[in-house]
Amino acid sequence: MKLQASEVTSVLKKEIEGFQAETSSEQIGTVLQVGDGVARIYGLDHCMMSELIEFPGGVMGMALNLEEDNVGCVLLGDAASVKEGDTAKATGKIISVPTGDRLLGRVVDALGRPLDGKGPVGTTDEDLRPIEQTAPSVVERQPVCEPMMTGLKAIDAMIPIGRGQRELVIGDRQTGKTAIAIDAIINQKRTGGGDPKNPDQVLCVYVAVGQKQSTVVDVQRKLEEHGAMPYTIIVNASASEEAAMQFIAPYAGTAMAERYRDAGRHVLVIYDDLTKQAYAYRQVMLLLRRPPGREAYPGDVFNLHSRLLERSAKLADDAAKLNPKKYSAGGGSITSLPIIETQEGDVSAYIPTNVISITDGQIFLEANLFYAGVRPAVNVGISVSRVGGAAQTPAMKKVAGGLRINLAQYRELEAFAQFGSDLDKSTQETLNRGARLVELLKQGQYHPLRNADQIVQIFVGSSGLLDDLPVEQVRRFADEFTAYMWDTHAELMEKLERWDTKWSDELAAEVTAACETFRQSFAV
Amino acid sequence: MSARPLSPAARRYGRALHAAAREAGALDQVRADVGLLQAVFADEAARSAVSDPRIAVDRRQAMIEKAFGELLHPLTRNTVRVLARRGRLEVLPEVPDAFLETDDRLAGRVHGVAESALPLDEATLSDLAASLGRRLDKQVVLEARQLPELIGGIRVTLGCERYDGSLRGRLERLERKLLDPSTL
Ligand SMILES: Nc1ncnc2c1ncn2[C@@H]1O[C@H](COP(=O)(O)OP(=O)(O)OP(=O)(O)O)[C@@H](O)[C@H]1O
Ligand SMILES: [Mg+2]
Repeated sequence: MKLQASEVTSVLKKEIEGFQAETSSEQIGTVLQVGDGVARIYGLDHCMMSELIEFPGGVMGMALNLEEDNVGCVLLGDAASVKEGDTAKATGKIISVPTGDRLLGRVVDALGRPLDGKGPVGTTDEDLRPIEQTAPSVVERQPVCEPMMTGLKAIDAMIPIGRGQRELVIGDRQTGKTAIAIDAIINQKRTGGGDPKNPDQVLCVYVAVGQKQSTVVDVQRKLEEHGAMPYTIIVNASASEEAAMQFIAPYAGTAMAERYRDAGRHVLVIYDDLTKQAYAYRQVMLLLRRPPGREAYPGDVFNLHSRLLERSAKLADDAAKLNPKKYSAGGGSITSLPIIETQEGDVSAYIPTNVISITDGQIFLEANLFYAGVRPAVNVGISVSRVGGAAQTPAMKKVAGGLRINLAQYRELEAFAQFGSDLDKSTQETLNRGARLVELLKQGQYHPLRNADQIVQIFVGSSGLLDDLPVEQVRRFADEFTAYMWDTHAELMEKLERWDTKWSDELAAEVTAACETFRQSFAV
Repeated sequence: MSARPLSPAARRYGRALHAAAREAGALDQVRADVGLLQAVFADEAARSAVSDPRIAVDRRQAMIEKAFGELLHPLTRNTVRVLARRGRLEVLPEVPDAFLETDDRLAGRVHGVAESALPLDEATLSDLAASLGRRLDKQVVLEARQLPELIGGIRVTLGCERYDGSLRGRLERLERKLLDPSTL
């Protein structure tokens, strides 16, 4: 087709007339320098922090360091295709990720793109949410008041976690940190039968940062095996991905969780782990030549974690009235279990101290305990949950009340007992009881326990009903006794499952009697 | 927009030269000098010759004085001398841009580029400049550039502001929408 000159002119003329009406301006800049997954850009005068920057070929970057005449930016895609002299465009948007039910059961990257080969996620523009959000304000929150049960006796009995709480899981490598998180996710199946449509079902987001691909695949498989994937989203920024993806993944996962929190649902989010997220941030910031501070981390690394964990909260019941734009229903929550890896148990390093100071409690895992076969390897003496009793059912609270002190006395006497053999009777009793309690609190992976099961097991343990059992028989006894209880005392067990059931002398008498009966038939 | 940020040193010298020229009532002459220097230093060889640290500063200064001779206004010539005395001759190629930046700012003027797939005639260009000028409340000076890859329409760039009415821009926006992560 050939155009006449006059036609060209008239087309051009129309373009010019229409130019103002239809074109809004955009911010552009020129790539000055690029390498190691970061770029410095000249121009982009009105660029915002965390703004999404677009490069030729559709590669995206995120503005991280705003200087007087240049913008430091991390590249989120194929960094090799960006060249010096390229034009970069500011998009005016903070990085957003898809959210909503379509993500449940999926494994996605830090930008919400599928990684599981199960096809498109299929969300729409309305499902996009910026990965950075302001945390709920003080008036939009309420104190934590409902339990978030992990199904692990050592935690639910002594370090109870509440919905909306931030409880740190901290320990050296290979001490069972991830195992606790996975069991907690699996245990959420009990809240709503594993059906995400059930409003009582706690939804879960597992954010994997800087892990081996195979580890995450294992996690996914385990969750699938235990029927936990239908209510879970996995966000994975593995060690082989760009540092930038690793450090935004926790924010992306949180945005996905907030979609539910803001609609009145309960969500459990795992960040596994924030140590690697901090490494990734440090790497990016060093490349952007941000002046390093303590342990070479940029000065705002505290903020990196505090602004993330602030978003875990229990919303006020009337949150939707207070802020109808943001919340469609009140009472929702995000509970988070951030994970931190320590080096040789050193919790006084920079990142551990930061995150300890931000969270509402800590579960300390110890390599010594782990190797001694005490698994989960929780050091009960120093682990705390600052929300405490408000996060336990009244029956659990009553039954588990003396457990912590009993164990503390046991540890103390155990140390003494090493020196001499002539122990008085009461000391011997405390030692006997303690050894059995320690045994009782051991728990294999992928077997989170119901509230009722935990209550009866802890009750028989702390009331001395197991004192005459050989220590090595304690776990088997506890398991079989619990099964027996469901067979013969289903009504009582159902009652203990309800959150409002109070412990009473009658209940205690009934469980004691049942235990003594069962004891007779139990073959040691 | 130039493709690189000006160095703070060039900015300082550019501003100072502008102020001195204003005071001396010599803005027009100095502007002409600056145009000349800009044209000369557009050549990479000229740029590296004045910046080459292996050549002694006074040799480089002599070279410049010889090249421009009496062509330059005394204020411009003095700028070269001051830079030479302070050992900062490598800043000189950037001084014209810095001077013009100040000149534009004080005059409320912005320079920009209008790119189009087909050549733009003078009248169209000045219409475009005038309409943008009204919108921004500034004097807009546009340089036309032909860029076939735009396919159709016009794209104007002023500093780091871009008004993209080109067909290519529209296609790119469409592409981005279609390639949205959530639909991948
Ligand atoms: N309660 C448990 N009982 C038995 N084995 C366990 C238990 N918890 C964890 N393990 C095993 O211990 C090993 C380490 O556990 P896990 O991967 O959870 O530790 P981690 O602290 O997350 O390790 P990493 O530092 O590599 O992330 C795994 O092989 C896991 O199966
Ligand atoms: Mg782990």
